Amino acid sequence: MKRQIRDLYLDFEQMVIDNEKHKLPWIVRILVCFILCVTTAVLLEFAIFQFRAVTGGYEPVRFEGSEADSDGNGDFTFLRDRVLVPLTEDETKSILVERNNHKLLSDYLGTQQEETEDETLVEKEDGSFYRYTDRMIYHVKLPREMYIKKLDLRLAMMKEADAGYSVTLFEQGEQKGEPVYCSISYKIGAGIANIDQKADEIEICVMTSESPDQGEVFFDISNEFEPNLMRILFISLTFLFISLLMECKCLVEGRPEWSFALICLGLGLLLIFGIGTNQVGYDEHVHAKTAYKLSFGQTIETTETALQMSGNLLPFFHNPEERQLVNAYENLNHDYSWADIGFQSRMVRPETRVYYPMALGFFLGRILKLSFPLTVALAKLGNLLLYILVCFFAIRLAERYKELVCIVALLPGSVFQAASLSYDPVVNSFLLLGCVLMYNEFLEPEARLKWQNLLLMLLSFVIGCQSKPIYILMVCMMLFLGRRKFENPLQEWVCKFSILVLAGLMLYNIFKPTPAAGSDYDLVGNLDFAGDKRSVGSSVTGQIGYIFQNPVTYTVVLLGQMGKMLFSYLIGGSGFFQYGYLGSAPMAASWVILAMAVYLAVTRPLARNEEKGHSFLQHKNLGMRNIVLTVIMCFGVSAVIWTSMYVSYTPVGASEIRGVQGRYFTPLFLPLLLCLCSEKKTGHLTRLGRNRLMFAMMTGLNLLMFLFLVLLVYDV
Amino acid sequence: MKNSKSHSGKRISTGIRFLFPLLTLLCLAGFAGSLIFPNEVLDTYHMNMSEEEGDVPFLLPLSYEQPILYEIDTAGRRMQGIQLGISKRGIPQTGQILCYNVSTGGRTVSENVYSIEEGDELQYVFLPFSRPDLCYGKICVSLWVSTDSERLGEDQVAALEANHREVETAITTVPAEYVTAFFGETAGSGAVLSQEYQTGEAKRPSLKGSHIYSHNTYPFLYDFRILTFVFLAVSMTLPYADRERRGA
Repeated sequence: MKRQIRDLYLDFEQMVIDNEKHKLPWIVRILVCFILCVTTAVLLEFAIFQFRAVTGGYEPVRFEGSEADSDGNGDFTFLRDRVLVPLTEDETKSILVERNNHKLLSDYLGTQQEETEDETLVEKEDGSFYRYTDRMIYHVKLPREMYIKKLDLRLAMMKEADAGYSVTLFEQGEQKGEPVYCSISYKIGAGIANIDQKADEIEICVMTSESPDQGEVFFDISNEFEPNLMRILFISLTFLFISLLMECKCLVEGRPEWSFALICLGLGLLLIFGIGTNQVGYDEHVHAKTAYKLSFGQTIETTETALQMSGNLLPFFHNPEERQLVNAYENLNHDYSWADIGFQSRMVRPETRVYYPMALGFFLGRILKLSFPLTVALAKLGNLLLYILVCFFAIRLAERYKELVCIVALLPGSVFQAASLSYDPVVNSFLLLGCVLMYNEFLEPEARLKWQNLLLMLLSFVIGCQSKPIYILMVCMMLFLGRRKFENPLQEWVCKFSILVLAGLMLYNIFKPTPAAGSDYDLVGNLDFAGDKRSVGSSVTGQIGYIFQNPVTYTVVLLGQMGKMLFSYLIGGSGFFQYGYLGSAPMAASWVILAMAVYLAVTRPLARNEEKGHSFLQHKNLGMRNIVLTVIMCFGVSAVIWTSMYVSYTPVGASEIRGVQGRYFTPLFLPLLLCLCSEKKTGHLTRLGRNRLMFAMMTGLNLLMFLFLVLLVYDV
Repeated sequence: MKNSKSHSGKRISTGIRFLFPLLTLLCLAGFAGSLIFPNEVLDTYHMNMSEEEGDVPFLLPLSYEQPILYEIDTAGRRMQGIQLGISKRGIPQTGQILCYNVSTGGRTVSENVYSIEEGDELQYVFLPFSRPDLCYGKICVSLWVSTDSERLGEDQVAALEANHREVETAITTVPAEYVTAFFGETAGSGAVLSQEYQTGEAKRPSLKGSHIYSHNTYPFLYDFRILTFVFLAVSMTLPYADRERRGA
């Protein structure tokens, strides 16, 4: 029975392949599919998402705050009071940190600590904080029951403080569901809420830290026909990816690197345009600042918008209407005629070179006089294109484990990073390429080491490790290459010695970086003052001293933290796949992807008749010695990553290690998966089936994450 | 055709055999050259560029007769110059020259001048020392203007920006006669000096500015030392000529 099913499956695959030969070229089919997909997406947008606007749309109805009756009479009333609002956890923490810093300063100076007076702040006995906030309540009886799609509230605030409001809907006197909350950025003076409900009465409760006049507030309710371009793009690309997997079998099976490039480009563009200028990537403002500066020569012109981008102070948008206001604000302040002028050295530090793809985008945006959002998109696109290009070659060069490389390259976290302002795409892609070239050599122990491969491999590791030199330890695996890879023992020893010195020099640069031009060199170049400034109490020399004084204690802390993180991942406490600060995929999805990766690693493709004997079907394994070495290497690199965060980010002598994130271990995924590769077991899927499964799962996961974490949050 | 291809392939192969060892040597030479010929860059240390809470910056007018003394402890490092805030007091200051010399142990080791009219209103100007190799340890910079202030008018003489922050390694000294001359009842536009200063109760003024030292950078050192070992490793994978002839 099992054999019959397998034969049926193979016959079906053969039939599909035969049909393929009579079809149009794949590029023509892709273009035709693209046109069909866009048309379908537009029709869906009109027929489903804009249905209410088409059938019952109306012009926006405006309510001026000045027209509201403050005595509570009539259909539009106004009420003002002051309420105590509990502060959030972050706000409470910020107050406590500020108080603690004041105390430390007073102790240090030997002065009396002076409490700063804040009349609006109330501290309860249980330690919780509340703040008196001005509340304005507008109650409107609508002329009839209306479908409200959007509520656009405008409030010009004087102070540089944000505000917010809630909208409660009523139908025949009964409250409908929970109130809808919306924030108001003082920079754009507006907050637009997605309501998407029917109501005949609404109550809007505006909370501000200042007391604006009731006439300073006005709001519009609307249900207009407004096609959503991001939604159309998302649906089009979803259909396009499906048709790519179904229609272009030669591309999916024979050229997975091209499939990867098309899929990654589509996903990256979705993320770039979906997220816009919202800064949701890891430390995106820090990377944005460096890339922006690098796009200039010696004289830097920093506009107000660029300055806010560097300080993570740009206003956020939550829907297309707010996006328009935010973009207008950014463009207004992106004026070089009153830019801040600064200077920098002509010579670029080695670790800063990884920002060139983004800097090129900023440079092009400037010389083409593009708007600020488009300039940022171009900077992100630079990153994305480099990532795709390097991963393309990594997949192409991976002899018999292309699917595994594709999985690592399409991990949601990696795709997200590639589409944001970050140097991680350079690290991830070049280390992936380096690993592929390195493990190709381990999988072919009899073949001589070619100079082309070694040159490309070493350069990939060097570029990938420029900003994170710790990963250079991975190249130490090359020291265990067999003697047969070299012409003679002398060449072997000199080559391995050179690689060892190369790794040593890159690690040495962490502790003793080559001096760069700039101010306060004695301070910057002194390890005594080194340490992450975002973490209070960190000191590189202090922490190294602590480790050497307490080696056993530190080893316990290190192993405990590593085990804790692993356990947290195993029980689902943390998500594997994250889209920066937007959130992560559900644990189940992560485990499904992991299970698929393991399946693809441990099995080899099912051979079709004419494929029997082909080299691409042969799955080779690393051999027990190399597997053990790889596991040791991965463990060692992980331990060094943890230690580096302990040294640079964690307060001296702490019993925990702070700042370690799952994404730091992405470069180790491929070596670990390769340890599972087996040449014995044959899977149930042909190469086409395996590639389809892999691309469908990875693309599906990315699309779902985009839908729930980006599209529904920022673009509808 | 086949022969010509094979010939060109051999030429490339021979070229590669020499290329990588040559590149290794070149990078090694670059590595050594970077160390031997470093690039000297100026290094700015902001000594007094912001005010303490409640303090307000003010202007210390320069004088022809009585120089402002600025004593610095360089902690053994050779100082390249200082950067001070010079105000033109709203007038062109045509022909006005700021003279400054550096003395150590009572001996003048450096003399230099700066044309005040060239600067903008309240510009922080780099005042380089003519003999930085001699300007180290405890040094004293004297600053004065070339034109008599009586001829120009008290409130028209160029001035240096100062505040009341205490800086241990840089002490500003303003002679008593100078104080009487310039800070009597009125101190001219922009100057703030209370009666307490004259009675010694106020904090002493401190010039706002930065100290300029220098350090060496090695722009290509990182690349050369890394590439030396990359090319050396790659050189070790090239086949020997006799082996290639044998077709191995």
